[in-house]
Amino acid sequence: MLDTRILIGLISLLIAMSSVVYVGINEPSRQDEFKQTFAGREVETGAAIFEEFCFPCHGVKGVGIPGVAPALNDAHFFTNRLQEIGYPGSLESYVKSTIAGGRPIQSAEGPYPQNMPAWSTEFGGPLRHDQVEAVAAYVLHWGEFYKEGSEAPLPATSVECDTPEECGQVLFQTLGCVGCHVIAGEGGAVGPELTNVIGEQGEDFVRQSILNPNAVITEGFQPNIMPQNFDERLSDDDLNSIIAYLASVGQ
Amino acid sequence: MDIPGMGFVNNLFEKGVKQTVSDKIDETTRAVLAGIGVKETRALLRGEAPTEKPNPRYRAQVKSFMLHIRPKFYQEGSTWFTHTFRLGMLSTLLFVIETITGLILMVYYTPAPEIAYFDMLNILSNVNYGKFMRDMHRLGAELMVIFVTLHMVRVYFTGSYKHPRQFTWLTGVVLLLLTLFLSFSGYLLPWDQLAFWAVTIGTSMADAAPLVGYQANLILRGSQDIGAGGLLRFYLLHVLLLPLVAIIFISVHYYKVAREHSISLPAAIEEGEAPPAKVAAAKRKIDILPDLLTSELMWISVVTTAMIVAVSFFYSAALEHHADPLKTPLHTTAPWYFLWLQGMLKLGDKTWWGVIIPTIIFLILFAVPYIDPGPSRLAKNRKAGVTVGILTSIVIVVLSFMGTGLWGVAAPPAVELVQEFIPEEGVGLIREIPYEEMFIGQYHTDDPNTWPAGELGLVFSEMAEAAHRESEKADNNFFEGKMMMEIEQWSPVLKRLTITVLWEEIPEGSTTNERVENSYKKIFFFHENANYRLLE
Repeated sequence: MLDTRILIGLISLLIAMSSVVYVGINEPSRQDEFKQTFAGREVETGAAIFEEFCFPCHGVKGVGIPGVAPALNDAHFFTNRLQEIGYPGSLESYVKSTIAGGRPIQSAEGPYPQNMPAWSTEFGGPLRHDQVEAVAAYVLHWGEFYKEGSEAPLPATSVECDTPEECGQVLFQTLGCVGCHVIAGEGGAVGPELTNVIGEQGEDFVRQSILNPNAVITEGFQPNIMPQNFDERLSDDDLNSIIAYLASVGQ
Repeated sequence: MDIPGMGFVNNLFEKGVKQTVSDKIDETTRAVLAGIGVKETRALLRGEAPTEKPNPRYRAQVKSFMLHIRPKFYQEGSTWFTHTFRLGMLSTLLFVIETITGLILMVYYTPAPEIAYFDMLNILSNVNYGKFMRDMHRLGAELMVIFVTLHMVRVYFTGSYKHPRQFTWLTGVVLLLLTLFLSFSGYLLPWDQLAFWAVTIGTSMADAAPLVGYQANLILRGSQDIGAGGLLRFYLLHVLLLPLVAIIFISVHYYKVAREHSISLPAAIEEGEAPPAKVAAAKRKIDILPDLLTSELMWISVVTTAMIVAVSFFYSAALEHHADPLKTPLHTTAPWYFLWLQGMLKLGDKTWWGVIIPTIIFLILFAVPYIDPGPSRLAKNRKAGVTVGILTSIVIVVLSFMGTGLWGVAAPPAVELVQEFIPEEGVGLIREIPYEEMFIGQYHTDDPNTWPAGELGLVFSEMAEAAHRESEKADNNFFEGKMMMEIEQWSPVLKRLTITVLWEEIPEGSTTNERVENSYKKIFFFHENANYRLLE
């Protein structure tokens, strides 16, 4: 007579072995699923970092800001950029090393007076290794949509605005002004705060400073940092909208 | 025929093939099973009487090291399930499971902040059975804390710590501490937010220790804050020092049981309170071979199987975002087995409630057999002891509850509202919605016409309720709360969710009770493939 305890032990051993086999059979698909999930989450993390640190220069969704920094979310970047500068490595290594180490010399094309700073903590920047990886994953994920035969990407930015104040606010974001100028407590500190600039300096002064930034340099700030080409890039309506927005903030 | 040096071949001719082969198998079995042959193995498995004289089972206990460290027999009463619940043995089993799974995980793990988290991702997405091993290890650790604690509770309530087992109790309390530290030191290794902040809180306790606090904290963390040094130290504690010390204490603990005083009998048996027939039954000897071993193997098989099934189908250890020393997640809590300590910290001063009082508690725990020297183990003769035990258990449960985020929450209502639906770590209601059902649009809790369809709509109506609930509360300076949600297609595989909480509040220091508007905004991204339910 077989001991019941042995029977119970053997049955549970069989259950255990079947479970292990079941897990084993599912391993390849489970691993694929995890790879995809982690890749997706990395893009999410990268997006959050990009839209916090990188958009002031590279624009919302990386569409670039003329005169400040080139577009990353466009076909040229993913198809021709490496040949253009003669970089022998992969786009991935190009993106990662540029994020980590910045751009110590002037970019080859375009008037980009600011050099990109180093972002990795390794070179004195604020981002950890894993964060640099995540930003790179976000930037590279746009590449999927510029491959041959793939559907055209979504319009990179959708500008929807009704009043001049609203349009001005959108322009203030998309042109990257907010990257250097503080308005109502938000924005960068590279240029002077603009919350009350219309009230303090008058509208004409502001128009002049946008179109010809070096005309007057506020004490404590550097010349040649602000893009010099807004007179070419902004329509009269755009300029009026920005002025309207600045005036509305100062009230 | 007699060929020199060819005994096996000679036997073939003399005894025939069948006999020779079965003799050889028997010989090999005896060599492997410490003198127990084929026939005897069969008898063992069937629970039959020994087949040879002298009893080969006793001989095996002398020859085999693994059997030698076991006692020859137990008294039946000490093996009754309701007396021990097999908790000591199962704790040992878990220690073995932890060692095996831990060794396998070590193969794929590097204790360095730049690498550790990526190693975790690798274990989960590239290593065959990687997730299985990790979940087993994690589940085993949690069960080990439970079993070791319950073992102590059992020993306390059956009065088994009394003479002659005082020292065994003491080593047991050391093992409880070692189990807690083993679990806690392993907590840091995945190097995610959960790990980093739980351990930051834990080690900050060391910092609060009087006189030596600063140094103790430095020694543990390797610097002011947890970094590369701290991770390496915790790793070495986890894989080397603590297991080594645990092995020594398990050995000492078990040697006392096996060689000196055995497992206690139920108090009623020992002190003659039970009917004589029961006492006689309880004092019958049970041999290790085969009775006890069979029973143990069954329990080992059943518990291991239960764990394997749990890990294969239900249980999954979480992995949060990469550790970020600059960003403290909302509602950081200690691991559940330290919640009582976190609860105590909410009572007052860190030095007193976090260090001095817990130390006193453990000192009292160590000294239990010496504080309570009364000879009787019967509950009715130690009413004070049993009462203190029950009260302590209740207090620990209450303190643990106080340690959870549910008690004494500090974040403002707007932050809590967002956290409630889409927590910084983990899943939450919104992340459970499939990507396709995160419909593009702008939704406002005030205007039901804008509410989305499907699961998103259900969640959103709950958000409206929650905003209303918070507005109704009298003491939180949060009036007319509303929530807005905007979902944008950010790239073909990415959506952006902006949650805004709008409310009115009375500014601090205001004397007129006039309310002003305020808002809180938080942005999240959702990737098509980021399935958060996977690690839940």
